[in-house]
Amino acid sequence: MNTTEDRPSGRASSRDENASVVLDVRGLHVTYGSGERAVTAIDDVSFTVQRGEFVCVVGPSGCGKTTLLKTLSGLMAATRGEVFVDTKPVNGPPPGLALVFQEYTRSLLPWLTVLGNVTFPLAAQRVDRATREERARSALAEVGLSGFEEKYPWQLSGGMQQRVAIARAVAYRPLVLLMDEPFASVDAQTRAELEDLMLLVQRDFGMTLLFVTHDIDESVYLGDRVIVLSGRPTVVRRSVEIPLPFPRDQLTTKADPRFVELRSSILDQIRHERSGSHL
Amino acid sequence: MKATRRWGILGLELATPIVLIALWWALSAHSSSPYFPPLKDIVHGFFQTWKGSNLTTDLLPSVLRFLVGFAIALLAGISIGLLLGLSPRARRDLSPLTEFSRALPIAALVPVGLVILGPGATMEIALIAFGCVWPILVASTDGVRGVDPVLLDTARAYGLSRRQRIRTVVLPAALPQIAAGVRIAIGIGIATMVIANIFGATSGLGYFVIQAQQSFDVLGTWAGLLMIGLIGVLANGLYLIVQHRLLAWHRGWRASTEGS
Repeated sequence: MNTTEDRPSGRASSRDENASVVLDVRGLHVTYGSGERAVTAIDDVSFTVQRGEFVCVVGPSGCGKTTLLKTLSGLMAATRGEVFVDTKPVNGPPPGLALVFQEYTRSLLPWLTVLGNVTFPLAAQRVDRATREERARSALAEVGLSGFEEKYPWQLSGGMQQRVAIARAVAYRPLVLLMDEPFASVDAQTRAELEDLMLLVQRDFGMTLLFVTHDIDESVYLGDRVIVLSGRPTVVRRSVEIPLPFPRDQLTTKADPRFVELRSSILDQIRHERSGSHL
Repeated sequence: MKATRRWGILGLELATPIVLIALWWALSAHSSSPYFPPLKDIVHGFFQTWKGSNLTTDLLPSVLRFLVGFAIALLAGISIGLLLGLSPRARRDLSPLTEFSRALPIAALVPVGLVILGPGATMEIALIAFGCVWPILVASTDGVRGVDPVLLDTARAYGLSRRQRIRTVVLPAALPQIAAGVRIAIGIGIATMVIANIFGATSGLGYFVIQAQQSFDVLGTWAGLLMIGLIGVLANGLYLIVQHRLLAWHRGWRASTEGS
Protein backbone atom coordinates (compact mmCIF):
# COMPACT_ATOMS: atom_id res chain seq x y z
CA MET A 1 0.00 0.00 0.00
CA ASN A 2 1.42 3.32 -1.02
CA THR A 3 0.74 6.21 1.23
CA THR A 4 2.77 9.32 1.69
CA GLU A 5 3.41 8.36 5.33
CA ASP A 6 5.39 5.21 4.61
CA ARG A 7 7.38 6.71 1.76
CA PRO A 8 10.93 7.83 2.32
CA SER A 9 11.18 11.54 2.06
CA GLY A 10 14.41 11.64 0.09
CA ARG A 11 16.47 13.98 2.19
CA ALA A 12 19.84 14.54 0.56
CA SER A 13 21.70 14.60 3.85
CA SER A 14 21.06 10.93 4.54
CA ARG A 15 22.28 9.63 1.18
CA ASP A 16 25.61 8.16 2.23
CA GLU A 17 24.33 5.79 4.86
CA ASN A 18 20.98 5.21 3.21
CA ALA A 19 21.04 2.03 1.13
CA SER A 20 17.71 2.76 -0.49
CA VAL A 21 19.02 5.64 -2.61
CA VAL A 22 18.66 4.45 -6.21
CA LEU A 23 19.69 7.56 -8.08
CA ASP A 24 22.29 9.89 -6.65
CA VAL A 25 23.31 13.02 -8.55
CA ARG A 26 26.25 14.97 -7.14
CA GLY A 27 27.40 18.35 -8.38
CA LEU A 28 26.43 17.73 -12.00
CA HIS A 29 27.79 20.28 -14.44
CA VAL A 30 27.38 20.14 -18.22
CA THR A 31 28.98 22.56 -20.66
CA TYR A 32 28.55 22.42 -24.42
CA GLY A 33 31.45 23.46 -26.60
CA SER A 34 34.65 24.92 -25.25
CA GLY A 35 36.58 28.15 -24.88
CA GLU A 36 34.84 31.40 -25.84
CA ARG A 37 31.71 29.76 -27.19
CA ALA A 38 31.16 27.37 -24.30
CA VAL A 39 27.56 27.28 -23.11
CA THR A 40 26.80 26.01 -19.64
CA ALA A 41 23.56 24.04 -19.73
CA ILE A 42 23.68 22.67 -16.23
CA ASP A 43 25.62 24.53 -13.58
CA ASP A 44 25.31 22.57 -10.37
CA VAL A 45 22.62 19.96 -9.85
CA SER A 46 22.52 17.58 -6.90
CA PHE A 47 19.63 15.43 -5.73
CA THR A 48 18.78 11.87 -4.80
CA VAL A 49 15.87 9.60 -5.56
CA GLN A 50 14.87 6.86 -3.11
CA ARG A 51 13.73 3.41 -4.07
CA GLY A 52 10.03 3.47 -4.94
CA GLU A 53 9.87 7.24 -5.06
CA PHE A 54 8.04 9.15 -7.81
CA VAL A 55 10.04 12.33 -8.39
CA CYS A 56 8.98 14.96 -10.89
CA VAL A 57 11.35 17.54 -12.30
CA VAL A 58 9.99 20.87 -13.53
CA GLY A 59 11.65 24.03 -14.68
CA PRO A 60 11.24 26.95 -17.07
CA SER A 61 11.40 26.04 -20.74
CA GLY A 62 14.90 25.61 -22.08
CA CYS A 63 16.32 24.89 -18.64
CA GLY A 64 18.27 21.85 -19.74
CA LYS A 65 15.83 19.15 -18.58
CA THR A 66 16.63 16.97 -21.59
CA THR A 67 20.36 17.49 -21.09
CA LEU A 68 19.89 16.41 -17.48
CA LEU A 69 18.12 13.19 -18.48
CA LYS A 70 20.65 12.40 -21.19
CA THR A 71 23.42 12.79 -18.66
CA LEU A 72 21.65 10.68 -16.04
CA SER A 73 21.04 7.92 -18.59
CA GLY A 74 24.69 7.92 -19.65
CA LEU A 75 23.88 8.99 -23.23
CA MET A 76 25.89 12.14 -22.65
CA ALA A 77 28.95 12.68 -20.49
CA ALA A 78 28.89 15.23 -17.69
CA THR A 79 31.57 17.90 -17.74
CA ARG A 80 31.87 17.66 -13.95
CA GLY A 81 30.12 15.86 -11.16
CA GLU A 82 28.94 12.32 -10.75
CA VAL A 83 25.82 10.23 -11.13
CA PHE A 84 25.31 6.98 -9.25
CA VAL A 85 22.67 4.42 -10.09
CA ASP A 86 22.35 1.95 -7.24
CA THR A 87 25.70 3.22 -5.86
CA LYS A 88 27.54 2.46 -9.14
CA PRO A 89 28.96 5.46 -11.00
CA VAL A 90 27.45 6.14 -14.41
CA ASN A 91 29.68 6.29 -17.43
CA GLY A 92 27.69 5.06 -20.38
CA PRO A 93 24.13 3.75 -20.12
CA PRO A 94 23.90 1.94 -16.76
CA PRO A 95 22.15 -1.41 -16.45
CA GLY A 96 18.79 -1.25 -14.74
CA LEU A 97 17.83 2.06 -16.23
CA ALA A 98 14.97 2.57 -18.66
CA LEU A 99 14.03 5.64 -20.63
CA VAL A 100 10.73 6.83 -22.11
CA PHE A 101 10.97 9.67 -24.59
CA GLN A 102 8.48 12.29 -25.61
CA GLU A 103 8.75 11.24 -29.26
CA TYR A 104 6.97 7.90 -29.02
CA THR A 105 6.72 7.45 -32.81
CA ARG A 106 10.47 7.77 -33.04
CA SER A 107 11.40 5.56 -30.10
CA LEU A 108 9.43 2.52 -31.32
CA LEU A 109 10.94 0.35 -34.04
CA PRO A 110 8.46 0.43 -36.94
CA TRP A 111 9.58 -2.93 -38.33
CA LEU A 112 8.81 -4.75 -35.08
CA THR A 113 5.37 -5.61 -33.73
CA VAL A 114 4.20 -4.25 -30.40
CA LEU A 115 5.42 -7.47 -28.76
CA GLY A 116 8.76 -7.22 -30.58
CA ASN A 117 9.19 -3.65 -29.38
CA VAL A 118 8.62 -4.64 -25.77
CA THR A 119 10.86 -7.73 -25.92
CA PHE A 120 13.89 -6.48 -27.86
CA PRO A 121 15.70 -4.98 -24.82
CA LEU A 122 15.10 -8.27 -22.98
CA ALA A 123 16.42 -10.26 -25.94
CA ALA A 124 19.55 -8.11 -25.82
CA GLN A 125 19.91 -9.03 -22.12
CA ARG A 126 19.71 -12.71 -23.15
CA VAL A 127 16.46 -13.29 -21.27
CA ASP A 128 15.07 -16.53 -22.69
CA ARG A 129 12.21 -16.34 -25.15
CA ALA A 130 9.48 -17.76 -22.92
CA THR A 131 10.33 -15.43 -20.04
CA ARG A 132 10.58 -12.31 -22.16
CA GLU A 133 7.27 -13.01 -23.90
CA GLU A 134 5.59 -13.64 -20.58
CA ARG A 135 7.00 -10.43 -19.12
CA ALA A 136 6.04 -8.48 -22.24
CA ARG A 137 2.49 -9.82 -22.26
CA SER A 138 1.92 -9.00 -18.61
CA ALA A 139 3.42 -5.52 -19.09
CA LEU A 140 1.14 -4.94 -22.09
CA ALA A 141 -1.81 -6.11 -20.02
CA GLU A 142 -0.79 -3.65 -17.28
CA VAL A 143 -0.93 -0.72 -19.73
CA GLY A 144 -4.20 -1.96 -21.25
CA LEU A 145 -2.83 -3.25 -24.54
CA SER A 146 -3.72 -6.94 -24.34
CA GLY A 147 -4.70 -8.15 -27.79
CA PHE A 148 -2.45 -5.66 -29.58
CA GLU A 149 0.72 -7.77 -29.38
CA GLU A 150 0.88 -8.55 -33.09
CA LYS A 151 0.01 -5.04 -34.30
CA TYR A 152 2.66 -2.66 -35.53
CA PRO A 153 3.20 0.60 -33.60
CA TRP A 154 2.17 2.72 -36.58
CA GLN A 155 -1.22 1.02 -36.57
CA LEU A 156 -1.90 2.49 -33.10
CA SER A 157 -2.90 5.94 -31.88
CA GLY A 158 -0.33 8.23 -30.27
CA GLY A 159 -1.51 7.46 -26.74
CA MET A 160 -1.37 3.74 -27.41
CA GLN A 161 2.12 4.05 -28.87
CA GLN A 162 3.27 5.77 -25.69
CA ARG A 163 1.67 2.91 -23.72
CA VAL A 164 3.83 0.51 -25.73
CA ALA A 165 6.91 2.51 -24.72
CA ILE A 166 5.75 2.40 -21.09
CA ALA A 167 5.13 -1.36 -21.32
CA ARG A 168 8.64 -1.79 -22.71
CA ALA A 169 10.02 0.04 -19.67
CA VAL A 170 7.84 -1.98 -17.27
CA ALA A 171 8.85 -5.34 -18.81
CA TYR A 172 12.49 -4.33 -18.49
CA ARG A 173 12.04 -4.06 -14.68
CA PRO A 174 14.40 -1.14 -14.28
CA LEU A 175 15.81 0.09 -10.99
CA VAL A 176 14.84 3.54 -12.11
CA LEU A 177 12.66 4.74 -14.96
CA LEU A 178 13.46 8.10 -16.51
CA MET A 179 10.72 9.83 -18.48
CA ASP A 180 11.40 12.86 -20.67
CA GLU A 181 8.18 14.90 -21.04
CA PRO A 182 6.45 11.67 -22.04
CA PHE A 183 2.96 13.10 -22.45
CA ALA A 184 3.83 16.45 -24.03
CA SER A 185 2.57 15.50 -27.47
CA VAL A 186 -0.72 13.74 -26.74
CA ASP A 187 -4.13 15.34 -26.36
CA ALA A 188 -5.39 16.42 -22.93
CA GLN A 189 -7.73 13.49 -22.39
CA THR A 190 -5.12 10.90 -23.36
CA ARG A 191 -2.68 12.70 -21.17
CA ALA A 192 -4.91 12.38 -18.10
CA GLU A 193 -5.34 8.66 -18.85
CA LEU A 194 -1.60 8.16 -19.17
CA GLU A 195 -0.96 10.07 -15.94
CA ASP A 196 -3.31 7.73 -14.09
CA LEU A 197 -1.61 4.80 -15.82
CA MET A 198 1.74 5.92 -14.40
CA LEU A 199 0.28 6.15 -10.89
CA LEU A 200 -1.07 2.62 -11.36
CA VAL A 201 2.21 1.26 -12.69
CA GLN A 202 4.10 2.89 -9.86
CA ARG A 203 1.71 1.45 -7.28
CA ASP A 204 1.71 -2.07 -8.79
CA PHE A 205 5.46 -2.39 -9.25
CA GLY A 206 6.79 0.01 -6.62
CA MET A 207 8.77 1.54 -9.44
CA THR A 208 11.28 4.33 -8.94
CA LEU A 209 10.52 7.18 -11.31
CA LEU A 210 12.17 10.39 -12.38
CA PHE A 211 9.61 12.20 -14.47
CA VAL A 212 10.62 15.36 -16.31
CA THR A 213 7.76 17.61 -17.39
CA HIS A 214 7.04 21.23 -18.17
CA ASP A 215 3.51 20.85 -16.80
CA ILE A 216 3.37 21.91 -13.16
CA ASP A 217 -0.10 20.45 -12.56
CA GLU A 218 1.16 17.14 -13.85
CA SER A 219 4.20 17.20 -11.60
CA VAL A 220 2.16 17.91 -8.45
CA TYR A 221 -0.51 15.39 -9.42
CA LEU A 222 2.00 12.56 -9.98
CA GLY A 223 4.92 13.19 -7.71
CA ASP A 224 5.85 12.29 -4.17
CA ARG A 225 8.26 15.13 -4.58
CA VAL A 226 8.81 17.86 -7.15
CA ILE A 227 12.27 19.18 -7.93
CA VAL A 228 12.15 22.72 -9.27
CA LEU A 229 15.02 23.73 -11.55
CA SER A 230 16.19 27.25 -12.32
CA GLY A 231 16.65 28.67 -15.82
CA ARG A 232 19.99 28.20 -17.57
CA PRO A 233 22.54 27.56 -16.28
CA THR A 234 20.51 25.11 -14.29
CA VAL A 235 20.64 24.59 -10.55
CA VAL A 236 18.12 22.96 -8.19
CA ARG A 237 15.96 25.72 -6.73
CA ARG A 238 13.67 23.73 -4.49
CA SER A 239 12.64 20.23 -3.62
CA VAL A 240 8.95 20.22 -2.71
CA GLU A 241 7.33 17.33 -0.85
CA ILE A 242 3.84 16.57 -2.15
CA PRO A 243 1.84 15.28 0.83
CA LEU A 244 -1.30 14.58 -1.19
CA PRO A 245 -2.99 11.26 -0.32
CA PHE A 246 -3.16 8.19 -2.55
CA PRO A 247 -4.95 6.99 -4.57
CA ARG A 248 -4.95 10.24 -6.49
CA ASP A 249 -7.82 11.21 -8.71
CA GLN A 250 -8.03 13.68 -11.58
CA LEU A 251 -11.09 15.35 -10.03
CA THR A 252 -10.73 15.21 -6.26
CA THR A 253 -6.94 15.51 -6.03
CA LYS A 254 -6.86 18.49 -8.36
CA ALA A 255 -9.65 20.16 -6.36
CA ASP A 256 -7.81 19.61 -3.07
CA PRO A 257 -6.80 23.01 -1.60
CA ARG A 258 -3.32 21.63 -0.89
CA PHE A 259 -2.95 20.73 -4.58
CA VAL A 260 -3.96 24.23 -5.59
CA GLU A 261 -1.60 25.76 -3.08
CA LEU A 262 1.36 23.60 -4.12
CA ARG A 263 0.91 24.18 -7.82
CA SER A 264 0.52 27.94 -7.29
CA SER A 265 3.64 28.09 -5.18
CA ILE A 266 5.69 26.16 -7.79
CA LEU A 267 4.21 28.12 -10.68
CA ASP A 268 5.08 31.35 -8.94
CA GLN A 269 8.65 30.18 -8.46
CA ILE A 270 9.02 29.22 -12.12
CA ARG A 271 7.52 32.50 -13.27
CA HIS A 272 10.06 34.20 -11.09
CA GLU A 273 12.83 32.12 -12.71
CA ARG A 274 11.62 33.10 -16.13
CA SER A 275 11.52 36.84 -15.45
CA GLY A 276 14.86 36.52 -13.68
CA SER A 277 16.44 34.99 -16.76
CA HIS A 278 15.56 38.06 -18.81
CA LEU A 279 17.66 40.35 -16.67
CA MET B 1 -5.56 -0.80 -52.08
CA LYS B 2 -1.81 -0.24 -51.73
CA ALA B 3 -1.18 -3.95 -52.23
CA THR B 4 -3.28 -4.15 -55.38
CA ARG B 5 -1.45 -1.17 -56.83
CA ARG B 6 1.82 -2.86 -56.04
CA TRP B 7 0.80 -6.04 -57.83
CA GLY B 8 -0.60 -3.86 -60.62
CA ILE B 9 2.84 -2.36 -61.14
CA LEU B 10 4.38 -5.82 -61.15
CA GLY B 11 1.75 -6.93 -63.68
CA LEU B 12 2.51 -3.94 -65.88
CA GLU B 13 6.20 -4.74 -65.79
CA LEU B 14 5.46 -8.21 -67.06
CA ALA B 15 2.78 -7.12 -69.52
CA THR B 16 4.73 -4.37 -71.30
CA PRO B 17 7.30 -6.68 -72.89
CA ILE B 18 4.53 -9.10 -73.86
CA VAL B 19 2.62 -6.38 -75.72
CA LEU B 20 5.78 -5.18 -77.46
CA ILE B 21 6.62 -8.71 -78.48
CA ALA B 22 3.14 -9.20 -79.94
CA LEU B 23 3.54 -6.02 -82.00
CA TRP B 24 6.91 -7.17 -83.19
CA TRP B 25 5.46 -10.55 -84.15
CA ALA B 26 2.74 -8.96 -86.29
CA LEU B 27 4.93 -6.36 -87.99
CA SER B 28 7.81 -8.72 -88.81
CA ALA B 29 5.71 -11.65 -90.02
CA HIS B 30 6.44 -11.06 -93.72
CA SER B 31 9.90 -9.54 -93.40
CA SER B 32 12.46 -10.71 -95.94
CA SER B 33 15.35 -8.62 -94.63
CA PRO B 34 18.18 -10.84 -93.39
CA TYR B 35 18.78 -8.44 -90.47
CA PHE B 36 15.16 -8.37 -89.30
CA PRO B 37 13.89 -11.93 -89.64
CA PRO B 38 10.27 -12.67 -88.68
CA LEU B 39 9.89 -13.00 -84.92
CA LYS B 40 8.49 -16.47 -85.50
CA ASP B 41 11.91 -17.51 -86.82
CA ILE B 42 13.67 -15.72 -83.98
CA VAL B 43 11.57 -17.55 -81.39
CA HIS B 44 12.23 -20.81 -83.15
CA GLY B 45 15.94 -20.00 -83.15
CA PHE B 46 15.73 -19.02 -79.49
CA PHE B 47 14.41 -22.41 -78.46
CA GLN B 48 16.80 -24.21 -80.80
CA THR B 49 19.69 -22.31 -79.24
CA TRP B 50 18.81 -22.61 -75.56
CA LYS B 51 17.58 -26.17 -75.46
CA GLY B 52 20.97 -27.36 -76.68
CA SER B 53 24.45 -27.34 -75.20
CA ASN B 54 24.52 -23.53 -75.22
CA LEU B 55 22.52 -23.69 -72.02
CA THR B 56 25.45 -25.12 -70.08
CA THR B 57 28.31 -23.57 -72.04
CA ASP B 58 27.00 -20.00 -72.26
CA LEU B 59 23.88 -19.27 -70.21
CA LEU B 60 24.80 -21.04 -66.98
CA PRO B 61 28.35 -19.65 -66.68
CA SER B 62 27.11 -16.09 -67.22
CA VAL B 63 24.31 -16.42 -64.68
CA LEU B 64 26.67 -17.96 -62.14
CA ARG B 65 29.24 -15.19 -62.60
CA PHE B 66 26.48 -12.64 -62.19
CA LEU B 67 25.26 -14.29 -58.98
CA VAL B 68 28.73 -14.58 -57.46
CA GLY B 69 29.72 -11.04 -58.43
CA PHE B 70 26.44 -9.67 -57.16
CA ALA B 71 26.74 -11.53 -53.86
CA ILE B 72 30.22 -10.08 -53.33
CA ALA B 73 28.91 -6.59 -54.11
CA LEU B 74 26.00 -7.05 -51.72
CA LEU B 75 28.24 -8.15 -48.87
CA ALA B 76 30.95 -5.57 -49.49
CA GLY B 77 28.50 -2.76 -50.28
CA ILE B 78 26.49 -3.21 -47.10
CA SER B 79 29.53 -3.74 -44.85
CA ILE B 80 31.51 -0.79 -46.18
CA GLY B 81 28.35 1.32 -46.36
CA LEU B 82 27.69 0.51 -42.72
CA LEU B 83 31.21 1.53 -41.79
CA LEU B 84 31.01 4.80 -43.74
CA GLY B 85 27.54 5.53 -42.41
CA LEU B 86 28.66 5.08 -38.81
CA SER B 87 31.97 6.89 -39.07
CA PRO B 88 32.06 10.48 -40.32
CA ARG B 89 35.82 10.22 -40.32
CA ALA B 90 35.94 7.18 -42.59
CA ARG B 91 33.38 8.89 -44.80
CA ARG B 92 35.52 11.99 -45.14
CA ASP B 93 38.76 10.11 -45.69
CA LEU B 94 37.40 7.66 -48.23
CA SER B 95 35.00 9.90 -50.14
CA PRO B 96 37.49 11.03 -52.84
CA LEU B 97 38.24 7.39 -53.58
CA THR B 98 34.60 6.29 -53.65
CA GLU B 99 33.49 9.31 -55.69
CA PHE B 100 36.19 8.62 -58.28
CA SER B 101 35.61 4.88 -58.44
CA ARG B 102 31.86 5.05 -58.82
CA ALA B 103 32.19 7.55 -61.66
CA LEU B 104 34.22 5.09 -63.77
CA PRO B 105 32.19 3.48 -66.56
CA ILE B 106 32.46 -0.30 -66.48
CA ALA B 107 33.18 -0.46 -70.21
CA ALA B 108 36.37 1.51 -69.59
CA LEU B 109 37.39 -0.95 -66.91
CA VAL B 110 37.18 -4.04 -69.12
CA PRO B 111 40.65 -3.46 -70.67
CA VAL B 112 42.12 -2.92 -67.21
CA GLY B 113 40.43 -6.08 -65.99
CA LEU B 114 41.84 -7.97 -68.94
CA VAL B 115 45.34 -6.72 -68.21
CA ILE B 116 45.25 -7.41 -64.48
CA LEU B 117 43.23 -10.61 -64.26
CA GLY B 118 43.22 -11.87 -67.84
CA PRO B 119 40.10 -13.08 -69.59
CA GLY B 120 37.86 -15.51 -67.75
CA ALA B 121 35.43 -15.96 -64.92
CA THR B 122 37.57 -14.21 -62.25
CA MET B 123 37.83 -11.00 -64.27
CA GLU B 124 34.13 -11.03 -65.11
CA ILE B 125 33.09 -11.65 -61.50
CA ALA B 126 35.45 -8.89 -60.33
CA LEU B 127 33.96 -6.40 -62.80
CA ILE B 128 30.38 -7.34 -61.93
CA ALA B 129 31.18 -6.95 -58.23
CA PHE B 130 32.90 -3.61 -58.86
CA GLY B 131 30.02 -2.31 -60.96
CA CYS B 132 27.34 -3.38 -58.48
CA VAL B 133 29.03 -2.36 -55.27
CA TRP B 134 28.70 1.44 -55.65
CA PRO B 135 24.94 1.93 -55.68
CA ILE B 136 24.63 -0.53 -52.76
CA LEU B 137 27.45 1.16 -50.86
CA VAL B 138 26.12 4.68 -51.36
CA ALA B 139 22.55 3.66 -50.47
CA SER B 140 23.74 1.81 -47.36
CA THR B 141 25.81 4.78 -46.23
CA ASP B 142 22.85 7.13 -46.63
CA GLY B 143 20.49 4.65 -45.01
CA VAL B 144 22.73 4.23 -41.98
CA ARG B 145 23.26 7.98 -41.64
CA GLY B 146 19.52 8.53 -41.75
CA VAL B 147 18.69 6.29 -38.77
CA ASP B 148 16.65 8.26 -36.26
CA PRO B 149 18.90 9.30 -33.32
CA VAL B 150 15.99 8.78 -30.91
CA LEU B 151 15.87 5.10 -31.96
CA LEU B 152 19.60 4.80 -31.36
CA ASP B 153 19.36 6.54 -27.97
CA THR B 154 16.52 4.21 -27.01
CA ALA B 155 18.59 1.17 -27.93
CA ARG B 156 21.62 2.51 -26.08
CA ALA B 157 19.65 3.38 -22.97
CA TYR B 158 18.32 -0.19 -22.91
CA GLY B 159 21.88 -1.42 -22.80
CA LEU B 160 22.20 -2.81 -26.33
CA SER B 161 25.83 -3.28 -27.29
CA ARG B 162 27.15 -1.69 -30.46
CA ARG B 163 26.84 -4.98 -32.32
CA GLN B 164 23.28 -5.48 -31.06
CA ARG B 165 22.36 -1.93 -32.04
CA ILE B 166 23.65 -2.49 -35.56
CA ARG B 167 21.72 -5.73 -35.95
CA THR B 168 18.53 -4.69 -34.17
CA VAL B 169 18.26 -1.03 -35.16
CA VAL B 170 20.69 0.24 -37.77
CA LEU B 171 20.40 -2.43 -40.46
CA PRO B 172 16.60 -2.81 -40.38
CA ALA B 173 16.20 0.98 -40.40
CA ALA B 174 18.54 1.32 -43.38
CA LEU B 175 16.97 -1.57 -45.28
CA PRO B 176 14.51 0.45 -47.40
CA GLN B 177 17.36 2.55 -48.76
CA ILE B 178 19.65 -0.44 -49.20
CA ALA B 179 16.89 -2.12 -51.22
CA ALA B 180 16.72 0.88 -53.56
CA GLY B 181 20.47 0.62 -54.13
CA VAL B 182 20.21 -3.11 -54.77
CA ARG B 183 17.66 -2.51 -57.48
CA ILE B 184 19.97 -0.15 -59.35
CA ALA B 185 22.81 -2.62 -58.88
CA ILE B 186 20.83 -5.42 -60.55
CA GLY B 187 20.64 -3.44 -63.80
CA ILE B 188 24.32 -2.57 -63.69
CA GLY B 189 25.18 -6.17 -62.89
CA ILE B 190 23.40 -7.56 -65.92
CA ALA B 191 24.96 -5.00 -68.22
CA THR B 192 28.40 -5.77 -66.79
CA MET B 193 27.78 -9.50 -67.10
CA VAL B 194 27.47 -9.02 -70.88
CA ILE B 195 30.13 -6.34 -71.44
CA ALA B 196 32.83 -8.13 -69.45
CA ASN B 197 32.04 -11.30 -71.36
CA ILE B 198 32.56 -9.89 -74.87
CA PHE B 199 36.35 -9.60 -75.04
CA GLY B 200 38.67 -12.55 -74.71
CA ALA B 201 35.98 -14.86 -73.37
CA THR B 202 35.45 -18.41 -74.56
CA SER B 203 32.00 -19.00 -73.10
CA GLY B 204 29.09 -16.97 -71.79
CA LEU B 205 26.23 -14.83 -73.04
CA GLY B 206 28.24 -11.87 -74.31
CA TYR B 207 30.66 -14.23 -76.02
CA PHE B 208 27.73 -16.08 -77.58
CA VAL B 209 26.14 -12.92 -79.01
CA ILE B 210 29.42 -11.64 -80.46
CA GLN B 211 30.25 -15.06 -81.83
CA ALA B 212 26.86 -15.31 -83.55
CA GLN B 213 27.17 -11.80 -84.94
CA GLN B 214 30.64 -12.44 -86.36
CA SER B 215 29.50 -15.66 -88.04
CA PHE B 216 26.47 -13.89 -89.59
CA ASP B 217 24.12 -15.98 -87.47
CA VAL B 218 21.39 -13.36 -87.19
CA LEU B 219 18.95 -15.70 -85.44
CA GLY B 220 21.63 -16.62 -82.91
CA THR B 221 22.32 -12.95 -82.22
CA TRP B 222 18.64 -12.37 -81.55
CA ALA B 223 18.42 -15.49 -79.41
CA GLY B 224 21.25 -14.16 -77.23
CA LEU B 225 19.69 -10.73 -76.93
CA LEU B 226 16.31 -12.16 -75.95
CA MET B 227 17.91 -14.32 -73.29
CA ILE B 228 19.74 -11.34 -71.79
CA GLY B 229 16.49 -9.40 -71.66
CA LEU B 230 14.72 -12.34 -70.08
CA ILE B 231 17.34 -12.60 -67.35
CA GLY B 232 16.86 -8.91 -66.64
CA VAL B 233 13.10 -9.26 -66.27
CA LEU B 234 13.51 -12.34 -64.11
CA ALA B 235 16.05 -10.70 -61.81
CA ASN B 236 13.82 -7.68 -61.40
CA GLY B 237 10.79 -9.86 -60.66
CA LEU B 238 12.73 -11.78 -58.01
CA TYR B 239 13.88 -8.51 -56.49
CA LEU B 240 10.30 -7.25 -56.26
CA ILE B 241 9.11 -10.43 -54.56
CA VAL B 242 11.90 -10.31 -51.95
CA GLN B 243 11.40 -6.58 -51.42
CA HIS B 244 7.67 -7.02 -51.04
CA ARG B 245 8.17 -9.52 -48.23
CA LEU B 246 11.07 -7.86 -46.48
CA LEU B 247 9.66 -4.34 -46.48
CA ALA B 248 5.98 -4.95 -45.78
CA TRP B 249 6.35 -2.87 -42.60
CA HIS B 250 7.82 0.02 -44.55
CA ARG B 251 4.79 0.39 -46.80
CA GLY B 252 2.46 0.40 -43.80
CA TRP B 253 4.65 2.78 -41.85
CA ARG B 254 4.95 5.19 -44.76
CA ALA B 255 1.21 5.13 -45.38
CA SER B 256 0.60 5.88 -41.69
CA THR B 257 3.04 8.81 -41.58
CA GLU B 258 1.84 10.36 -44.83
CA GLY B 259 -1.47 11.23 -43.16
CA SER B 260 0.07 13.12 -40.26
